[in-house]
Amino acid sequence: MPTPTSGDLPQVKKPKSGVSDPVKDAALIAGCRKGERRAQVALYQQYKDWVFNIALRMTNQQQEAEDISQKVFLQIFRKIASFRGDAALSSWIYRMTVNICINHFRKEKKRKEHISNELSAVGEQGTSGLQSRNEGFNLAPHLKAAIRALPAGYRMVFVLHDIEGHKHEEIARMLKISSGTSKSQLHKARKELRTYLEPFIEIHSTL
Amino acid sequence: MNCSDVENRLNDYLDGALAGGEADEVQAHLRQCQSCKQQCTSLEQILAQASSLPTETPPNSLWQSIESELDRVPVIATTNLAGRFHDWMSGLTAQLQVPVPALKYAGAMALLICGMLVGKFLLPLPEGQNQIVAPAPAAGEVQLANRATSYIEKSKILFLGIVNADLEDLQNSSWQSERHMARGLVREASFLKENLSRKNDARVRQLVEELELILLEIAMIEERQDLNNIELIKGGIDRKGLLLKINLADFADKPEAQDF
Ligand SMILES: [Zn+2]
Repeated sequence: MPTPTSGDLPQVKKPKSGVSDPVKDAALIAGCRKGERRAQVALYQQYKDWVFNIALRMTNQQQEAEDISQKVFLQIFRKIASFRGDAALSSWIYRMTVNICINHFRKEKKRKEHISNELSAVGEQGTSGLQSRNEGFNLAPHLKAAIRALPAGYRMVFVLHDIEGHKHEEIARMLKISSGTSKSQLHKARKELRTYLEPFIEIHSTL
Repeated sequence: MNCSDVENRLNDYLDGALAGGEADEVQAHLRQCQSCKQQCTSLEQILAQASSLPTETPPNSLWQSIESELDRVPVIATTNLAGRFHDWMSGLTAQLQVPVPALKYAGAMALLICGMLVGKFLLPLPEGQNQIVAPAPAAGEVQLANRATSYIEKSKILFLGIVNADLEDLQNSSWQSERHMARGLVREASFLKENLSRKNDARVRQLVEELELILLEIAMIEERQDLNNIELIKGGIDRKGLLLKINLADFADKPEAQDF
């Protein structure tokens, strides 16, 4: 479990690729403030996988994840002058990424289709994946397909809680909902996922 | 506990959010109920997988699109805003007395726009120094070219500030400085249109006119705009590719215009 950070900052998983090093970050920030392309490239290299993967989990759409990542980095470069440095650069970037994802969902038209409609479409994808079961069962592709099929509200809470490791109180603040709502959304999300994924898990465990 | 009691508590149980006694009861039920045990195992596997999904790498084209956006709408360096603003003001005063190519001040003016970037119009122009634009001399060719360049550069700075700023910041701002600057530039545009028309310089004249359309919109804007109007202005700047055209505009003293 990640340790909670102070204040109202959400606890942040460190970027998986590369370590967030305060000294290195300070140099990047200084360069980006001057608009130096080299520093921008370096900052991008440092954080691209992290930002992209958060966006990818939140949207589960390659193109949308790319669009969101582009927005995030442009906003980083345009707003870095107002970054006061009282929080880690990674926290600042993280919050920006999540906020842009959230805005993205707000703009997205409410998804009317019930989850089962989408699940039938991803189901085909799922079974073809099972053909490689001799090489060992890999739940990841099925899980990704199932997350993608979740309604946006469930998906955000699931990603923030079960992938990014936030607490309900933090999610409630980020999404401006009550923690009770966060909790019930998470439970519904997990139930949908389990309903969809259980057959795959069972097939695997009887092989 | 029966099966539905356990099902209701399974999430909290796995999240470690159940009180000790309840957790023990759930555990006891799981030991003797195959169906609940199966549910619990599936969920555990899903959660384990969720927290360790493989990291994916974005395509190289992602940086390319970021970079082209950075080239199209450059980031303005922002440091020591207030100090630079004073430099700019004194530069402006000097400019009104001695006709110096206004481009010299373009860098400092960029810093004025930084005020807009931050979204707060902290430093409104004092009355009496309204005249951003120098009074019209009997224009020689050089002076006319300088004034055209200055007009285009100032418009660019104004647009960059708007394009760079957050919609939310723009929405809450008073638009005072922008309105002000735009009005000065609109006055300058009418002077330029009149004089350039005789210079056979159709391209410059056209750019002056295109910029003027956006400037007029900015000059008319009210405080606390609704998003639609702001997006209209932003969109207008974008759609016409004005920033790009400005960059490509072919002027004698172009090298200086590349400063930012
Ligand atoms: Zn049971």
